[in-house]
Amino acid sequence: MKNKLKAKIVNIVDGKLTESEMEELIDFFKYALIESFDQDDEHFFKGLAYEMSSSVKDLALMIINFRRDLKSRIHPDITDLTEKYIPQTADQLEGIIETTEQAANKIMDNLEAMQSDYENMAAILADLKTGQVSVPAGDDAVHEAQVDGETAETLAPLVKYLTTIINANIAMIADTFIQMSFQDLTGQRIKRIMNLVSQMESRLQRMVVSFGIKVAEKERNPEISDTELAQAVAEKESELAGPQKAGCGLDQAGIDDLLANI
Amino acid sequence: MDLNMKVLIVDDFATMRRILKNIMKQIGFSNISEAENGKNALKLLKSEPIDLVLCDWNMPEMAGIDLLNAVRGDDQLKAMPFVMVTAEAQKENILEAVKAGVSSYIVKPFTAETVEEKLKKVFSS
Repeated sequence: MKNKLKAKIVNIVDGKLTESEMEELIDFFKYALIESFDQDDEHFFKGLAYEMSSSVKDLALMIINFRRDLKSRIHPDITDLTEKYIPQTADQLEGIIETTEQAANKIMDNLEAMQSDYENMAAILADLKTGQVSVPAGDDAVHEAQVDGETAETLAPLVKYLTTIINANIAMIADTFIQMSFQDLTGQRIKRIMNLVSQMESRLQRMVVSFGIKVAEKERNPEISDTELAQAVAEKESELAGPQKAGCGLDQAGIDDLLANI
Repeated sequence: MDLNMKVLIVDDFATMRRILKNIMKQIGFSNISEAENGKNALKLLKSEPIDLVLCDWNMPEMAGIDLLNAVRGDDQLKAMPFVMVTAEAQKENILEAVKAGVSSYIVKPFTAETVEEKLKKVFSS
């Protein structure tokens, strides 16, 4: 028994006591225990209870300080997060989709116009080979021209060269059109992120609201039971969730008030 | 492949509908309708004679896979060539579409050649 106690003390004090100091300490414990039990058991247990209550009090103070600290932190940080930053993130992501969509549409407008012009030029060059050319002259007017065989033959290498360039450009425009699908693909990913952000927002909001209700109810009624607290949270949460009837549930101002009271 | 057939492009992104429309025009199709989700597409399919559907997977209101199931479950529409054009390239999605009776599956981003080749296969089989 003595050896076991000694081993434990060695373990606790980690070699900071000498052999004789340890012996002295063990003897003191033995003496104190025997004295307490023999002379006054009640005194011994009272001492223990006093020590325990003192420690519990310290723990309670730590919890209160922690809660106070959490309370002071939760309002500026988490409520800002739920009220301001997360909705801002969702708005900014939506803004990215809108901006890229506008740009993509403008680019596609230009591409379609270029595509149409190149197709008209290709058609004119094809007509040139036949000797009969119709060239748009503005305001729906068309300039008709005859090209004799000799001129057409002279221009043939130029026509061939221009046709090749025009076809290459038409192909590049078509490819650029397809590359514009980046807007759809990035948009889909951004929408998924927006969905995630919105889920985070609602969960954080629920957490903040639940915390707020509990603190407010506890301040109003310090004797409130856990069941009553849970019921109060459930009632407020159901008001926040789902479709609301007119006059029922919390509106934005109500939520703001609630958050401000945390 | 009859280029006079009426094509329905279903996608919630206007950019993608425009891209697909442009590709279909390049291939030679000129009779093209559009819908922004499965629900509107189903309404169009029941009110207009459509010969081919090109459909995205992820859409609000009614997803592409749900539209496909609705089409295959409808006596009037069940034989409709239905091509899924989507960024969903996971095996289980493809299997689900095949199980539901998709005619072909094109993964985004695609090329005009891929679209043409897949459509030719759909109409030759």
